[in-house]
Amino acid sequence: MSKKRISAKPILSSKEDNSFREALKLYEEKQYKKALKLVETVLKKNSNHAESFSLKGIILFYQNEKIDADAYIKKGIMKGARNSIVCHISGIYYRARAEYAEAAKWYAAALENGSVNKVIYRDLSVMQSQIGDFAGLTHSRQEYLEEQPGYRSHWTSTGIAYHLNKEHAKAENTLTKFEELAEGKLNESDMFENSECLLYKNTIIGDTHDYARALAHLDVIEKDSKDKLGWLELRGKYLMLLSRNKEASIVYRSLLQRNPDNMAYYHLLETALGTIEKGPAVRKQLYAKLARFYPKSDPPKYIPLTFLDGSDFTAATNDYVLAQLKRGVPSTFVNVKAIMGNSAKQKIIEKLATEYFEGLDKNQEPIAWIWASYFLASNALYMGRLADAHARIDAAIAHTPTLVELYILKARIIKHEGDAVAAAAVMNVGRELDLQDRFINSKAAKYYLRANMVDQGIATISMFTKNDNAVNGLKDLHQLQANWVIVESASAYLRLFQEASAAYRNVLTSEDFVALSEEEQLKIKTETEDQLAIYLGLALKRLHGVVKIFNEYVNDQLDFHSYCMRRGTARAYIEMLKWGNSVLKTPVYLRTIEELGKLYLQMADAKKPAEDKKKVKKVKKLKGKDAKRKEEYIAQITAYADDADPLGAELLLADPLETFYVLWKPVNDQFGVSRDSQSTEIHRMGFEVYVRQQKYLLALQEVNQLKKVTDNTHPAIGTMVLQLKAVIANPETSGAPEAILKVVEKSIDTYFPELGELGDEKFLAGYAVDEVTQLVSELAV
Amino acid sequence: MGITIRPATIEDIQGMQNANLHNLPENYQLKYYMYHLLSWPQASFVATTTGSDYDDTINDEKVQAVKYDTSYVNKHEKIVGYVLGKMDDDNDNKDDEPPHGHITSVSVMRTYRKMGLAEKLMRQALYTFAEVYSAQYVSLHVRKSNRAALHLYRDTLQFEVLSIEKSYYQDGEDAYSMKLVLDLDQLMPFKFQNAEVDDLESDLLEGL
Ligand SMILES: CC(C)(COP(=O)(O)OP(=O)(O)OC[C@H]1O[C@@H](n2cnc3c(N)ncnc32)[C@H](O)[C@@H]1OP(=O)(O)O)[C@@H](O)C(=O)NCCC(=O)NCCS
Repeated sequence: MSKKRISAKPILSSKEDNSFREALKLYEEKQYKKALKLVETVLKKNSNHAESFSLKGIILFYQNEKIDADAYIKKGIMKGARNSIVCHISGIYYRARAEYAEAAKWYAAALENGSVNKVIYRDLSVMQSQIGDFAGLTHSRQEYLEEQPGYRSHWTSTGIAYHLNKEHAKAENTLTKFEELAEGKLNESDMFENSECLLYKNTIIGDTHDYARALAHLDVIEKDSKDKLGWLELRGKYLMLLSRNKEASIVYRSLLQRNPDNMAYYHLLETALGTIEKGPAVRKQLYAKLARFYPKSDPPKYIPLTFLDGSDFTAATNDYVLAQLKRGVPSTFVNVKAIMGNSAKQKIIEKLATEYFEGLDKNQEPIAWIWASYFLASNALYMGRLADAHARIDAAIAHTPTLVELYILKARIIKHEGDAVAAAAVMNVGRELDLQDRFINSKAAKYYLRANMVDQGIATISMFTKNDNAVNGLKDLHQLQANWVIVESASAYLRLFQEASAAYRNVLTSEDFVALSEEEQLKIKTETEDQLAIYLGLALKRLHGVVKIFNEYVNDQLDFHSYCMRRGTARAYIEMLKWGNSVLKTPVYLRTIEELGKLYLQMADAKKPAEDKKKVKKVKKLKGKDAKRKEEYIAQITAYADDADPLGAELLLADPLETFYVLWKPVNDQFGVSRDSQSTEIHRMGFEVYVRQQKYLLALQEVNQLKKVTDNTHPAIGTMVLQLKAVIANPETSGAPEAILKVVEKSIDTYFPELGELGDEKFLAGYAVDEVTQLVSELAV
Repeated sequence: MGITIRPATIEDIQGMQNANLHNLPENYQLKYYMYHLLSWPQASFVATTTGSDYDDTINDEKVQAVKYDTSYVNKHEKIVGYVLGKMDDDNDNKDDEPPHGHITSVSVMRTYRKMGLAEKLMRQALYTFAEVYSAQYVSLHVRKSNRAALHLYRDTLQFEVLSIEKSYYQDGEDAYSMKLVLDLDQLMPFKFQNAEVDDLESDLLEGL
């Protein structure tokens, strides 16, 4: 990132100001040492020179003196919060710290306080885009456009700003104005950008729901649209929305010609033709016709399996499943797995495949036999018949011991049998059969991690990473954002921690232990607790590793707020912003936050005697062999170059509630008030955090959100409400002012009026789950 | 198979990155995927499992399974294959080079291989290169020892081997540098079906 130019206006031409400007110039030339010297002489003469404090702050920042830097930036602000140079430098500083809201505030302040440096508008608009301040964005983009109207990118970015701020007419007009100015002046190399901008404008028209006009506009831009597929998709959509289904059906047919493997086009075509209402008989014939056009594509053969029944289904299965088994397609089972949920269909498929298999001679038709075995073993596993699955896969391996796929399946079966260590060993045999393939290597590594053999897992995957001088690829995996490895490692450390804690509890109460001398007891205690701290610390470290990566994802958007304007890729840019606003809802991130939540809540509830803290902090000096072993171990688990806390010991000491709240809040914000079934755990954890923070109204809001998301069916709701009720019933211990408690009480009544009528017991019973469900869900965890 | 081949969007890049990390030793940070999709939004494709249209009953167990599998980009879709494409327009020194595309990466999860997904992904990419970006040809590199990929490019897609680049890969392996000249008309995907052609006029439901 280049450091932005700062314009110093020569109002006071005192000697200090001259020196300051000189220092500023040196800073801009990245001559930090000289700049620092000079700025220090200014400060010596004038200890109130606000700009110099700020300048010293930013210089220190780039010299990696982060703590001092912050102090000087704050001093600069204290002495000159209305000084445009101070404001500008503060903006640059907070941007460099990735604190974009704060940066936006100071860039804006620089402009308000009289900076004539219009480039600040550009920097400000990048910050506003990143934090989603679209109202502010329209203003800064517009200002910058007026400053430099000669570039298409400035018109595009202003149009986008209006669009984001839901001012569709202004957005469209801005884009149109440029088109008029550029009429006849574009050359060949502008044509891709032009096409993207025109199609973007079309989507803005579409967003106003005036589909007739959008459709007409599509015709106007047809010859300039290079993205024909996108153009056709828009056309199909508008025609459907205008109920011109017949024409839409033709559009979807031409889209199928372009991509006969896109399932969505078949469904859109059916919607346009109205065949779904016409029933299976018509649909079957339609797909027969489509299969004649696209015999090499899967959807026309597959989709009928989803709507046919009885003998029609049997016939279709014969064509689809058996044909694939005969050809020896390894993926035959995954191809029909989605249909297996329907038990009648599953039975038919199993029956046909079994009959087919039993008619095969394994010596005459080895390929068909092996894949049919594989299919039936997969099916048995899917149906939970583990012994059957196991026997079938063993027979297959006895027949062909060199086929990797068989070991993948066998390992899965053994995993379901509950022996993670044996499963990993089998997967590793498969890996050794194809050392070139990273996929099977990844699988073996994953199975080692699932078996809590973390070091073995990382050693395995390190066969494919860039290790440089390190003992393994852990740093590379973190740098390349290999979330799956990191989150699986975290889970493994957690399990190790839980197992070791349980074992430790048993030891402490065992007769043998009690019989030991105090000294011996202390030794065992210290050693075990050190080991526990390592497991827990590493679990936290890895989970925070995933958090760090998602932070990078979010901040990766930054450069594109200007880059996409220049390329004209506005449609993709709008998609990026949507993605950025929901990326924290990615399943693996939710898993990470939920794991962190469980840990931090436990840590918050655990009583931590003060001496314990000291013990973790005190670095014990190990000697000789022990020291060497520890050093080697640390080399193995270090995830970042120059990490001062490779074992995560510092993470154990941070305030658990505050730390977790900071991680939880942005996820909760991304869910907002949406009714997303994936958010239930997030709301439960929000409740737990707020209760402990004694923020009862917010806690209640989380319960209410959980109620909304689950249609008031979540079994925990009853307990949560009663817990809250009990807490506020006791003003002394609640820690909140009585006025607030009153509001909480009223709100409980508003959200859960039935509580008053039913009484606690009946209210709670309303959320109780039957015992079987309870048992099953507990076993499933 | 309930698998769909479609243009990649920014929503897919985490799944693409995940598939790439599972399948290949050449890996990239997410920003590089963003750079591809935000520079050439039409040049990358994914193969995904589908679910949303057909299966709205997402139970707790399913949600749990999704969380434990990083190939899911949302609760309905997981990425099982991808092709990541770009235009080679940053070589300033070769001004006279006609516009041409480059395949940065392609891979398919092992359990979904050998059913034609890579070929289909590539055919989509080749067509767009020619149509949207007016590319005259497409180039790529492949490890000398990668039989599957070599078969795909040379035999299935008819790329020609231009040269061998010594020690092209980090671990010292040589690469074949390959190239395919693009002819838009021939590349229209349905033409590879060698089958009856939809005339786009007749009534599909006639007589049904
Ligand atoms: C290379 C790869 C992408 C092929 O994917 P795929 O979906 O299995 O390929 P397809 O099913 O579309 O097969 C295309 C052609 O290659 C052939 N092929 C596929 N795998 C093969 C193998 N292991 N050996 C020989 N030929 C093979 C197919 O038979 C088919 O040939 P055909 O047109 O003559 O019928 C996949 O194996 C993969 O992801 N490998 C690991 C990553 C990788 O190497 N990527 C390429 C980097 S340049």
